[in-house]
Amino acid sequence: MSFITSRFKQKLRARRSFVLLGGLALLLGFGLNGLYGQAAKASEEERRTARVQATYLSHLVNFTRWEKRHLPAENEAPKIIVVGNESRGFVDSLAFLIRQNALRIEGELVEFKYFENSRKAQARETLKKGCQMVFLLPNSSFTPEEINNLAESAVVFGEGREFVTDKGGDVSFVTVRNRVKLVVSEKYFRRTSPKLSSKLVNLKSVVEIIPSNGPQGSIGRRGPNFPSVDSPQFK
Amino acid sequence: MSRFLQVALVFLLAFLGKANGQLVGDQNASSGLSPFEKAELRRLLDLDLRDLSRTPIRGVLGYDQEYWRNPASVHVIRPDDVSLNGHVLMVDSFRNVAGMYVTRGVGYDDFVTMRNFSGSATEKFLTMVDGREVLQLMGGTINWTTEDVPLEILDRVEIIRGPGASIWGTNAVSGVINVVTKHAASTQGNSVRLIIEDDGTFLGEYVHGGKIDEDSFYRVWVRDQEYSEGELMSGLSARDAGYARKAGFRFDKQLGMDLDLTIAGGFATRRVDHILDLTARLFYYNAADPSSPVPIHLAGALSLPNLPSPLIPTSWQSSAVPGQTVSALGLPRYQNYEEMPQDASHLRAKLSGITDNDLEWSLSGYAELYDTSLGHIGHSWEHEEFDIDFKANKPIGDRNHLAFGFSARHMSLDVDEVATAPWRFPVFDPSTGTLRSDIPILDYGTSTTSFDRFAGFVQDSIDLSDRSVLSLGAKFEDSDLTGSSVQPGARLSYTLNEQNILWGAYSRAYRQASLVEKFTKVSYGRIWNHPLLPNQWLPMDFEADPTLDDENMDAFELGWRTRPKDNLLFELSLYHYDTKNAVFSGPPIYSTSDVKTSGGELTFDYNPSNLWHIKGGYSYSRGKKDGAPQEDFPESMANLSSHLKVRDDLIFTQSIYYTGERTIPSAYNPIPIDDYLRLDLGLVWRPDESLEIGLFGRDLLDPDHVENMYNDLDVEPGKVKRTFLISITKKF
Repeated sequence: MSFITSRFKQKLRARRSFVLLGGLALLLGFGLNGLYGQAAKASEEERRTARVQATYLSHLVNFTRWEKRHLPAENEAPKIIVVGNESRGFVDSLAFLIRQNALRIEGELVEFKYFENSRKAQARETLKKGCQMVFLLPNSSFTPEEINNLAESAVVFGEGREFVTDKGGDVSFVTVRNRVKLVVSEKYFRRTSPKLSSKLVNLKSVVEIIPSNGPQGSIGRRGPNFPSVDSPQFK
Repeated sequence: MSRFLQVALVFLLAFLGKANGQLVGDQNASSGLSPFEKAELRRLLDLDLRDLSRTPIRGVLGYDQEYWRNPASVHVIRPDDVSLNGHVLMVDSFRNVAGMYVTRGVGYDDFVTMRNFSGSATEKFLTMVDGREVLQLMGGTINWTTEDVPLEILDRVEIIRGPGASIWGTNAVSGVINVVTKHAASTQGNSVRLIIEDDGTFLGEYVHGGKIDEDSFYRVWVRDQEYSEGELMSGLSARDAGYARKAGFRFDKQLGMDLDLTIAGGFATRRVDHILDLTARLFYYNAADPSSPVPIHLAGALSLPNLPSPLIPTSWQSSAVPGQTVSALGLPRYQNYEEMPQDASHLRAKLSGITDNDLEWSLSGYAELYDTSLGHIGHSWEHEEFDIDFKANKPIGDRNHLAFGFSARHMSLDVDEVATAPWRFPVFDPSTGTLRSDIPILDYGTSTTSFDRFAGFVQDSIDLSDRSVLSLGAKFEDSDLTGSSVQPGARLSYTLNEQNILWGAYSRAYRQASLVEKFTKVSYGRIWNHPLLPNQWLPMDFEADPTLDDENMDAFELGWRTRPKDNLLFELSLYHYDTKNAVFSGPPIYSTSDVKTSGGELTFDYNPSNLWHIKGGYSYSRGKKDGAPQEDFPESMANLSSHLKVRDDLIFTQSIYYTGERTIPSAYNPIPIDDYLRLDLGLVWRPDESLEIGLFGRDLLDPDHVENMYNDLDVEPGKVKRTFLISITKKF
């Protein structure tokens, strides 16, 4: 390789310039980071995460099947409900996607509802009447178990791996390797309704399946390179 | 230009009233989302789950081109932009990109230039297909037919206007074209695309995709393109009938949650004829002005003393075109057609993944074999190339996103030259002191045929605040061909508010002189009555210049991106390029010049309703070569395309293109090209997701016009004619 034995006289000068410029770029970058870092809010990353999560949720509607007993009566719209407080645009994003995409569940236009924690009682009443998907924001005052008790027809979404492994949720979003992935409870595609399509189960790059009897159980599988439960990324 | 505006206005008025579908813009919402965020949500919604899972949360320039905060001018072409506009090849769709100048010569020749850096055939931007550089180093050109891919496998074409050398490297001077094909899992089943034009031109593509197991997918494809015989500006046959055939494959395997392997390859073969203009290549020595020799026919007509006998060598006479004259001088036309076969194959492998600490990386290897013969100039070469390329990026802390990479390339050539039939007459060669009949037009001689290149880059994208993104980087290259260089770049974007983003950039970029420009002796004519040897023909030639420096360019850019609403986007990009040592091809020498170019593009993209999508752009560019205005590039260009759903399954499409006037440069016969307006109309029927039938009329305003040719190789441009075509795409 000519890099070592280059006949070009300017090589050394060029290499020196490269090291200087590269170093300068890094110094400037980290320097500016130091100057501006504290003043800036790290919200754009969170907002983009929220947008990707909301898009996932819109897609998952099309990968889920509900039996008739888990669908609303004929004159009522199926519902997607979000519960909890948030400021990163997830609710707005999901509302936008539902409206733009004219999202349907089993052929019926979806009705979207959002309840902050302060409206827990109203949320409870609405959940009791039945719904098809519930997203529990991280600070929601509901637990997946409560949702299951209130609305057995609902797929329960949340954030963080432990939402599925420990808290009994159906699906959670995790941010890992600068990407948003899904952690899905095995029960979501084993049960008859609401049931996840096997097409999604096979997308190894997208989904980690958590066995019904826990993450170390014998049923189901994990992505071979998925970080371990103890990984700091999940904490 | 005014005609363009008139037609555009008629379209707008005609359809403003009709586009009364459901509003796309989120006008009644209470949302806290910015228009940019809403537009991004719509784009994300179009992704399948596999692609969604690959969407980076923290984007970085060079990897995530469509991120709205990027400090660069980016245009993305999707398959619909090709099929709905009645385009046959990917390169046709570049006509819809402001700042790109796309022209047709004869039926198989497409010319692409960007931002007025060169009006000749030499492309001065970097083009990559799935990461593989496709520039042919010998002539510095790209064969757009050979590099095209079936529409079914095309994911997108990212066009980044402006230099991007700090991350992309040498030759990313006036821009970068990055062609990305789909994952094999996204092309499962069978797909057939057929296009038949009324002149007999045909394109057929077949793609088959399958699944080996739940983690492994493959596809194979074949394509046949048959060119029909066209017509030149004078009405003579363009003799451009021929074919281009391609086949390819791709295998994708997921080795782990975020570990992927891709192996792909392709083979392309093209058989066409090409012409060499011989009209003004025999001269008589002009004692009064040795730098302006007299064409031999004029010398004959003027009965100058000591003329050769016969006036025209016997071997040359067979290339005469009776009854045809060329240029204002009325020179009898001479031309020589020869075969121009091209065969190309490549193989690539890529291993990519993301580590647990967020390091996204890819390791790619490429092997390429290109075998071509430019029969008309008796020049052929076989080109072998091996590349290895490592790229990575990683977020560091909350603000920094570091991208870096290394690459190495080995390239070798086997060059061969012959004298074509007309040139086989005795000529005195001063370098050997003998009479020869075998002096080739291009003589690569004993110049080096093996080249190595090593490159590395580092770039840091810094979120200075929620409003500002700064990108700093530099690329180092060391090459046997051009020596060592450093190419720095800095880009900054600033979010004024939810609707407006400003960005600016400074870059220094380099473009390598081509091997022809640098190493090839050009023997472009013969001269009689030279004082050195008055009774013999002597070659007219010029030596190659191995000391040709890289062209280097300082580029300054400013941009404004605004989304007043989520369904309306305007982008304004302004630039000033200051280029030293710019190489301009063509006899008598490959001269270098200082070129200053300024210009800009204004584009818009508007979805008034879910029934109508309209977008377009205007570009202006003015260049000065050594202080003199350049006339080989149109100053103004504009395009407008509209897709209107007249029924759920029927789309009415319209495209109009305006191109300003220019002159095709030539040593003896410059050809002025008038400005022209092109109108295309089409109807696309999509009865279901598996079938699409399109009927298109192209160039409806004029029966024909001319656009371009290889100056000093072609005699005259081919006619770009009004055509009607039917396209059928069926998936099963």
